[in-house]
Amino acid sequence: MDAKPHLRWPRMAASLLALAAAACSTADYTESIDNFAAATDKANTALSELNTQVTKSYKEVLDETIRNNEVLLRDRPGADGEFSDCVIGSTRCRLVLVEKGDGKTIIEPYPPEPPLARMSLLMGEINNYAGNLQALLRADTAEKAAADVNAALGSIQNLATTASNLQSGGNAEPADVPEFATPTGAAVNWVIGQYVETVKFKGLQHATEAAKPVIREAASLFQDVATFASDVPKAEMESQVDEARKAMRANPTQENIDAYAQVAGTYDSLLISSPPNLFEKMAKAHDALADSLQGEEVSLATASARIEAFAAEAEQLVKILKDLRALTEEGQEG
Amino acid sequence: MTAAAEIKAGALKARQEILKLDNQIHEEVAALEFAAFKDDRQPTAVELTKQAELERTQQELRKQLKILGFVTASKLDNSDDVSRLLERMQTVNAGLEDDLARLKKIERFAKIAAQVADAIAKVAERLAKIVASGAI
Repeated sequence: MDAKPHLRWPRMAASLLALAAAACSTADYTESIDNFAAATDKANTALSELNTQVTKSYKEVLDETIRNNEVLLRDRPGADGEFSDCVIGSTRCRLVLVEKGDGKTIIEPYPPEPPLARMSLLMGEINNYAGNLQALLRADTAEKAAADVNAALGSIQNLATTASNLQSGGNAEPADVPEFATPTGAAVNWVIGQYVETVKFKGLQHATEAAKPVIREAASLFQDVATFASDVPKAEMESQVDEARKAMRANPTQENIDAYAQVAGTYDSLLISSPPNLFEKMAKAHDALADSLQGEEVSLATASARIEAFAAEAEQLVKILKDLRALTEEGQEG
Repeated sequence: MTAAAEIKAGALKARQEILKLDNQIHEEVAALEFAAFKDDRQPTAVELTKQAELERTQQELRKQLKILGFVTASKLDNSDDVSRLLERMQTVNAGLEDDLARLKKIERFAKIAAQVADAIAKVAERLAKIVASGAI
């Protein structure tokens, strides 16, 4: 429940004074927060891309075990007395891999589910968070509220004109109360604007401060998962580099030399733009943003620079991961 | 559920072993290729057989690395840490949504103030008309 009005106003006044003393307004953060939101969205795509690639590669491994007759691919067997999947009385038709032993012990559902279900939700929440920071920053309430106050001032102008008419017997000029620019109106607008600014600024401060340890820890988890997940495209690339080298050694034509150099270059791009680095940069960028909003020893310029580094990394990694996927799919089709 | 740190520690150990073996194989293959290059000759049948064997082992290692990647990602995804962080992030987002709602409230109050001022002005105007007509 809201505090009592007589208690709320002194607090609001204190907030306004504090805000007036602050060097930055929320508008100064617009670009940084926009960039952070865009980069977070890209990081979300990178994680999703890794999730897809890990699942795809794992499915290929499972397919090989099926072809080698190491496991049996079949419909999910029913528990005692229940229908199996994929018969007329079933409610589902799902496939599973079963061991050779009893033919019923399920090793894995097929096709495999992407492993990062909950981490994708977590990354999605971070993405929503960045979007919420933007929404708070962009809320045009101050403008709307000011417009309403100005409308009220318009009515006051009518009142003043009427009063003048009364005094002059109806021949008065319209009262000289410039719409939207009376000292009272300006003051009211200023107070509303400043109060809204305070709500926005404090909202950003609280949210970034609360999110700081969470994003830091989440980023560390994403780093870990990216370390293992990125081994999958690395294994694919190592294999492709080996193939290209062997082809070049066996037949050193210009085409084979170029192909070897090209595939090595692609692998190099992936290794340079290491997926785990992206999430480390995400945490650093957010830390700097939060610290800058708290007025700690991080300037907005430093925060912006870290956000830009994160954005550049995210942009590059998403491109590389997509290129790699296209490359491996092309290789399989060829 | 297990803690992420525990899952990571176990998986990292396995990963390190695979990476080390993969590098060893790579160096052995490179040594075979270099020997033929140095002597300015084609690889011998023995060397080719050894190389093929090494490459088969390397393929197997890559397969193990893919399995490790998938399984570790699944395990990390199911760790307690993810649930806890998800909950905390949802709380932060709820706070931000509250702030936005508060801003909307300010907007509503400003509208009410405007309506009140408007009503006063209209009443005063009417009153003035009545006065001017001499009814009062």
